Amino acid sequence: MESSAKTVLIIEDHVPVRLAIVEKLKKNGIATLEAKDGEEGLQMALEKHPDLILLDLIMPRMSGMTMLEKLRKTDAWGKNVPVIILTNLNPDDKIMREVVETEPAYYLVKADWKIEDVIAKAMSFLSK
Amino acid sequence: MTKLRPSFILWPTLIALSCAVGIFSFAYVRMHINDESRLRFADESEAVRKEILEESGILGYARSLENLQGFFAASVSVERNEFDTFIEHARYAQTFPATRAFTYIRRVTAAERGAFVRMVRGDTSLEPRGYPNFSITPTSTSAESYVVTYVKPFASNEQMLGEDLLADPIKHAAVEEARDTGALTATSLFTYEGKKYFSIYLPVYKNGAPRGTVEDRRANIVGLLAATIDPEAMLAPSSNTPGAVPKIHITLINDATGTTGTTKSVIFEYNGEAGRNKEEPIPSRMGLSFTYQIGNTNWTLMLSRNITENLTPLEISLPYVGGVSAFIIILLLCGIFYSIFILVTKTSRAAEELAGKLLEAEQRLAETSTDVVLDLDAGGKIISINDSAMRLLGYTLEDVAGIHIGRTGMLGGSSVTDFMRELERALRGESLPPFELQLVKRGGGVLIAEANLTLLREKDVATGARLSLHDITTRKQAERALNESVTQFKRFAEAANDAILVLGNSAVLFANGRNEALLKYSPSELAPAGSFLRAAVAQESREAITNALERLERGGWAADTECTLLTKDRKRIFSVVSLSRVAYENKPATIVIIKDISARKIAEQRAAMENAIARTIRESTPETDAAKQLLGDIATVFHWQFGDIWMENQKTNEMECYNTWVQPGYNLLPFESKTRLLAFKKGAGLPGRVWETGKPKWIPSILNESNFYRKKEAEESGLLTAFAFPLIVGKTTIGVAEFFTDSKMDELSQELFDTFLSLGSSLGQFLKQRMANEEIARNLVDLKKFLLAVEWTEDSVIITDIEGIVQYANRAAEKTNGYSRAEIVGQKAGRLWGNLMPREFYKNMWDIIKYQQKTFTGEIRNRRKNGEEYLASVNISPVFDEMGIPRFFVATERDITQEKAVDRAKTEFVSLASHQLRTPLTAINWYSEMLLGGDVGSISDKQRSYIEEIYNGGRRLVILVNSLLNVSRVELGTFVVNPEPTNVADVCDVTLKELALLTNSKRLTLTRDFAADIPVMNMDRSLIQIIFQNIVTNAVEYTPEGGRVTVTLRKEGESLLFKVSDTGIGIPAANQGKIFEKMYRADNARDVKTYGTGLGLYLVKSIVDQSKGRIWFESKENIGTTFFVTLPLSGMAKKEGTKMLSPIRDVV
Repeated sequence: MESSAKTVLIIEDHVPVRLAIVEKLKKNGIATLEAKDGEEGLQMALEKHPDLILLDLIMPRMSGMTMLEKLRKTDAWGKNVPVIILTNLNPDDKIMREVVETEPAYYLVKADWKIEDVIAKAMSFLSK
Repeated sequence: MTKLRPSFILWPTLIALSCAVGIFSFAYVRMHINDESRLRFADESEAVRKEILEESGILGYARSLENLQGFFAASVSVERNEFDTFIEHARYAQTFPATRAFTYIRRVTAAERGAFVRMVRGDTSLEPRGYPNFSITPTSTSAESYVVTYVKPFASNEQMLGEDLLADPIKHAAVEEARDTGALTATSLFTYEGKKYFSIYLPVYKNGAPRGTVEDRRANIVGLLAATIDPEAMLAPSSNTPGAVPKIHITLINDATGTTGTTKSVIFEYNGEAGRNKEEPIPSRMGLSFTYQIGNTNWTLMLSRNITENLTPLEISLPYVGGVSAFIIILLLCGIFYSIFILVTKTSRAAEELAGKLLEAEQRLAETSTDVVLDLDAGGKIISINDSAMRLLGYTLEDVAGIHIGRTGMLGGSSVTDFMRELERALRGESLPPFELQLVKRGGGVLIAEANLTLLREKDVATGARLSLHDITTRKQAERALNESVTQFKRFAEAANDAILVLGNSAVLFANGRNEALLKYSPSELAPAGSFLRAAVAQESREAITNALERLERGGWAADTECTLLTKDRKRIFSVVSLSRVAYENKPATIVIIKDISARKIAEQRAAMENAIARTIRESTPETDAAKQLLGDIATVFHWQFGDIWMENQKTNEMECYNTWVQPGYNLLPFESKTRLLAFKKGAGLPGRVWETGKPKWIPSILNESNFYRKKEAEESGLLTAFAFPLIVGKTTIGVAEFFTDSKMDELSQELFDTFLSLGSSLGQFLKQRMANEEIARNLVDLKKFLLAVEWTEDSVIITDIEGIVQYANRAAEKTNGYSRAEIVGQKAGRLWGNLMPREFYKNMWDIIKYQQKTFTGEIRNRRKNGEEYLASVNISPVFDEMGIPRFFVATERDITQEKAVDRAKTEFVSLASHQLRTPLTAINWYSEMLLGGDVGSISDKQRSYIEEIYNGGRRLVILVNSLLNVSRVELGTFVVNPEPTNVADVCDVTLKELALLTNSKRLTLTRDFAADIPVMNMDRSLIQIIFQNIVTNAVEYTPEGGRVTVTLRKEGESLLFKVSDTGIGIPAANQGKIFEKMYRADNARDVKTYGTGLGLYLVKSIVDQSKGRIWFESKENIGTTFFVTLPLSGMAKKEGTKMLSPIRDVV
């Protein structure tokens, strides 16, 4: 498997969604890490250095955007680690601006995507 | 009228004038006739000249010798018989009848003389016997002779033979001339056998000898050829022509060169008039001369004639006839004009004369001849008489004292008895009126006197009577004359142009025919004098006339008075009336002469009216009711009772009553009220008609007029006639002025019509100006209201000058930015409360309003005086003057902080709400997917179908949430438009590809009809995608299996056309109106697609509208639908916003 020993960090406060993704990734032989808010996620990211981060935006304690800003400012790894924003927010001006600045690898609206496609997208980033 | 005494100037002038004209005519005709004569002369001269010059004329004769000369030159010598034969054969005699003889002259030297004579004597070549008596005559002893040797014809010219030409000085000169010059030479006239002839000589030289110089010629001269010609025969015009010989005087003169020089000699004269004495000098006035050179002689041919010679007697007399007739005609014309002139002035003159006569008569009457006073005793005997008696009657006291008056002879005839009777009555004490007495002067001669008898008393006793006699002879004569004059007067009066009346105390004694014509009253109607005054003199003139009559009675003469008369049919006539007091048929009377001065009056009226109007206009102020005043000015002049002005109401396109005027003292209320109520369209009623035609209109009788809306009221108010004229500005009729009167108004002359037309122009201008001023005043009131509105509106309004310096700020402005007006005005706008935005913002704002001169709209952040920041929606517009130069800026500001906050809240709520909705939906969908994907084990078919239901529901909900999000953004206006260069064809292709699966599964024929030249346009990609997706998806979904869908994309004018047509279920007609409404689904749509949101077309329309495009459709139920979308090629405009609309994948 090309994706052996790849780790993906899922930062998502909505349990069913998080679990579904974890299941699916596991099925593809990806090691997963989970966090339920931005703060936890940031910590975990910096600790574990996953290969890819799937990031929700609306979360308690620290929102996804804040976390990403911070992540990008931390260190070189933080700057470059690919991040896919998974959210149910429509992109609007404010977010787009921030998105540009924080340079996520991708941005998608969960409700509009089949889970299969989401996983496929993630896998494509992992194989880069 | 001045008395004319033209006679002593006029008649001489007339005669002089006539003479002048007569003379002129005479000269003119004469000149003309003379020209005629000259032409005739020219023609005839020509004819004569030709004839004279013809071959048989002068030229011919000259050549006769030349031929002969030729003959001599060609022969060694010419014998006599040869000479004779030549001439015979050449028929000289016939050709040159005027040549008496052709001769050959031989030069004979002295030495040769004898031999020559002998030779000739013995020459029998022609004459068998020769010429035994031949000798040279006169006998000559000179060195040479020129002897006539041959003569033809010989018979009548024997004497010529042997003549020595040198003997005759005339011939001698010519001979030498001919010899020396070698040319044809002519002699002057000489006499031969009692007749006048001339000869021409042509020299003959030795054959072959040189003859170039004079010496040569003299040396080699052999002889001469000569012809002796009768000039009369040669030149007299032939009388062969039928008719008279033309009367032309012919003179032939030749310059004969001789030893004494050149002399002119008259060869021939012919005066063309048979029987005329040739010696008389010809007074020729026309002449032509022609000069010919023959040989070395100049011949001058003069043809002349007296001018009148070939004129017929008629022609000669014509000038005189012309002159005299002209003279007579002019005289006659002048006479006629004069008579007309006299006739014209005759009446007034007659009247004057008569009046003068009457006055004279009166005066004579008034002259008191000194009265004769006689005192009588009771018995009638004369006691005393006064001086006048002596003077008048020629009696002295001595003659008559003590004699009974009846016996003095003073009293004529029947007077005695009358007198005695009167005397008795007087003595009885009766007071007697004056009576007439006939008196006889001492030496004869009758007098008529007015006698007065008064009683003489002494202490109550009648002692006698005093008889005073007043000579009334002259008066009597005058009365008689007067009576005659009256007849004369009547005759003149009848012929007069003016109306003449004679008014007695109680009746009209006389009225000429003109009265009836002018006033329409018959003589019987006029008879009672009082009635004339009452009926015919108009109200306004009665006082003047009455005064004049009174003056007359007192003084005797009254000046001409202006008087307005009323005809029987109630027409007003303006006249000047002359009054004079006379005795008419022995009674005191007044002559009234009426001169109709209507024309003059009209001119005066016009002037008066124009003056009044000019003054009114000049003195008008905004407060004065100028329109009313003007109506009055016009109406008063013409004695009209009612006037009104109509002005156009631009909004209703009708004329409304603007003002009215009524003559003081008149009550015309019904009419006035109705007038004020009405409004007229073009062509309706009198105002309407004048408005339409733009020309004045006169209505002679209102009651008989159709198209008059106030008939009833006019009748009530007693108004009969109407006149209206247009009020004009430039070429447009802006109003109408009307006038009405209760009397019969004469149709106005063309002059007055024109006056009113031009008046209409000045009045139009004036009224327009006034109305404009009134409008301004009204606007001022409106303006004040407007200012108030601006002052109190909620939005902040600031007006600055072109540099941005605040000129005015309203209350709201103060409230908004916290500064007082005093602080704001005079400052540059924004200095106090602005400067929070980036520099580009202000730069851009200025650029738009000042340089692009467009309105700037934007949101601006400002700071109040208290430091508080606020967000405002600002609108700044430049304000231009008439020439398009910006003068001010007007800035309105609305504090939208609150609004914005609310908006933001709404938007955030929507976002939040949609997020909240999407979260559980994500779970539903993904878990369904996983179940369906077999991630947790296989499922039965039934399980699959159940789970699919859950999954479908979930997906639809997602679609709905997305649609609702878009809709909310459209509603809030917060969606962003980000145009970028887009290849719309590609975007459309993407859409088509996305639908490929569905299209194929339904076996639809999808036709892609894209034009090749679709340009790259500035489009927001996601928005154009929404448009394409929705329309095409609808077509695909609503078309049953096997149907057709055609997608067209092409340029159409300035737009991009996107067209999708299908063979689908169509939109029922009843539903078509609502198809673009939110959440609306057509009745037949649910059957095909149960889960449609009804939001797709709403969204598409919002986007198309925002992009300034158009969307429409054509549809028939069960046939198909075609949707059309056009978008401007210039693309979408960038729109600031906070959200993007997301394309909705509405496909299951």
